[in-house]
Amino acid sequence: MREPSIVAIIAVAISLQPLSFGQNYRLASDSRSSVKTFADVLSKLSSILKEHPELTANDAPIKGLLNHLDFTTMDQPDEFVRAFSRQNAETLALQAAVQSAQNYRPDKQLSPSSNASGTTSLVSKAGASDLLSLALDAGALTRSINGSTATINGNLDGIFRAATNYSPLCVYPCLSFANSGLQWVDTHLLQPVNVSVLTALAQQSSTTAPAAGQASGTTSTPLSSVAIPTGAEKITSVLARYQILNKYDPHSAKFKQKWEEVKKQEKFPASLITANNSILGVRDIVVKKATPLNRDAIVGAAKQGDQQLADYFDNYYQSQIKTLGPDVSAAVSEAVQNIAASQQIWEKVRQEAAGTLFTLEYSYNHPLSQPDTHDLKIIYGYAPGSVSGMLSLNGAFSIYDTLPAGAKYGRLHYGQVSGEYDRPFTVGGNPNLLALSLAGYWQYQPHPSILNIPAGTVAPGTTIPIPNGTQEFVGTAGSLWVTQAKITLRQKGGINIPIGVKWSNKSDLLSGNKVGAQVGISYDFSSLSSLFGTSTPK
Amino acid sequence: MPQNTATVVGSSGSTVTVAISSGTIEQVAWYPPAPAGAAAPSFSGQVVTVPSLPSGDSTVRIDLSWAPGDGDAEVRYPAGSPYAVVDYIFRHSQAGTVYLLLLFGT
Repeated sequence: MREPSIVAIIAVAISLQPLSFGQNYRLASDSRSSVKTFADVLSKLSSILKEHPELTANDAPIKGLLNHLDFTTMDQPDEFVRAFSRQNAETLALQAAVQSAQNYRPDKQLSPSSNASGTTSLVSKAGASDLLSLALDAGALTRSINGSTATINGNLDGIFRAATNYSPLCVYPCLSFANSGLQWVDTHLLQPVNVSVLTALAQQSSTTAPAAGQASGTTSTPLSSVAIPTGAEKITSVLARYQILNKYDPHSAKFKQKWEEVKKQEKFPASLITANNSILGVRDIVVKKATPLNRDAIVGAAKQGDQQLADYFDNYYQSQIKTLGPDVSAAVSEAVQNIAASQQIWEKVRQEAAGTLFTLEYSYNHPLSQPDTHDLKIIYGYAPGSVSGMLSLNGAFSIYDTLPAGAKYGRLHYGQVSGEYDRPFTVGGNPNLLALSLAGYWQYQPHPSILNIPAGTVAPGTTIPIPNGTQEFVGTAGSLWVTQAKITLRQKGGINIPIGVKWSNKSDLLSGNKVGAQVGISYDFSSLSSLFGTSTPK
Repeated sequence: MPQNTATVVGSSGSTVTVAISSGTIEQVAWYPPAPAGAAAPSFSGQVVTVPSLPSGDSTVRIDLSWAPGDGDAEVRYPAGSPYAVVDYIFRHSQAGTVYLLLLFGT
């Protein structure tokens, strides 16, 4: 996909309004960032006062709820951080993208799979981007033809939430949609699914066209057709993957015990406290400049109705925001990054506590000068609790899309198994800057590879074009072994730079050992999630 | 912070126990400025204890993490009473939160 298309999608996503499924006023459907973020507090306040209209601002629990809303008390200050970041999403997102160095998720698959002409991934990982990612890779692993590829990957749930102004990044379960049918679709069909499109860059193929006569030369060389270079930046693969987590009961004693164990192993409490420290740093700045909420007045507004309550609170909120200086933006930006880092660890803990993570992957491949194939892969990710790092295992088979008349080979293209171990290393006190990966790959194919000879191709040593095209066996049947060592540099703002070297006993079209290098760069747009709306689902 | 905004008001020197109905308490501490000479707050399970309520304003910081399946929490004071809800801590689909328990000793 071209860059202008990506920009257009982002622009459309930002411009869309949140989905609304109700006609009457509802606090949860109010689009104002202040009301939306504090909707739970306001709803609770409203419901208690409807049930007990005799309560005043000094009675429990009204007094406690007002402490959430009052800028001079602010007893759960992450609510303000989220409201402020929503209202100032663009500025804060860009700051976060520049500053964040905490993007390490070892289970994310951002580059194309091993059979691409340009890839740095010998083994596919079980996870993927939560929103959108873009990867550029150069260097082949199993292919003979070295190429460069661009891969855009997106999670359907993340894209859908971005388009509907709900935060693409939330911790499980992201139950946000009032419509139960839509919620089912989101949970079962959108959240687990990632799609990728792989484009070959600067790789040319050809198409035949009728020749209109010889343009120069003294010797007559009549040609009925010629091959025209085409296919630069063509889409060569479309991929879909579905993540399967073990079913688990979050209320079971077994899960709770496992949750506590993994939580400590992953040092989640430490990351949470770091995030909370930065949230309290924001609070310290805000409280100094705040004026108290008129508690009797807002209780009076609440007794009139939800709309009046929302209007009163938003007026108060906006009056307080105006008094704040740029130091609040910087503090909120830091807090948002720390919250995001803490949430990522939380999600990792959940996956480990829930058990095995499997991913099913299907891809349709349209490689240059070779038959189209359908590939099906199962991916297993395992993060041993006692050892830092992650193990990924793949099993896959590939079949040809069609068999031409007279084919001397079957539908099965190949089968493969592979494994990779990724281990992060601490550099300069930062545990997220460098990862080392070691991978092994075995592929067996019953027949040599197939090379398409297009119609119009001139037979070697002659000037005779082949009229109808043909296919030729190239390379050898049997085992293809590949090993790869790779380092991945993880830079600020979601940028990863993998650099690998590989050895293989052959490649798909050529016999003989081959040593090669791969390099790539990928960007995970998850770090810009707040650009796409930061509504927090319930 | 005047008495009419404190979430918990009690007699100075008394022991205050507050129960949090949901979430896991990871840490409790005085939120600066810590009251001079006051014993540190502690927690056991989901109950936070202030051994001797300081006179005037004081604040306890409570760091809470949410597990899958956890919902919003009620803050109950005193801890043993199921009806004395003095505040709520909202999950907001977050991984955790920090809650400030606002105290006033008379």
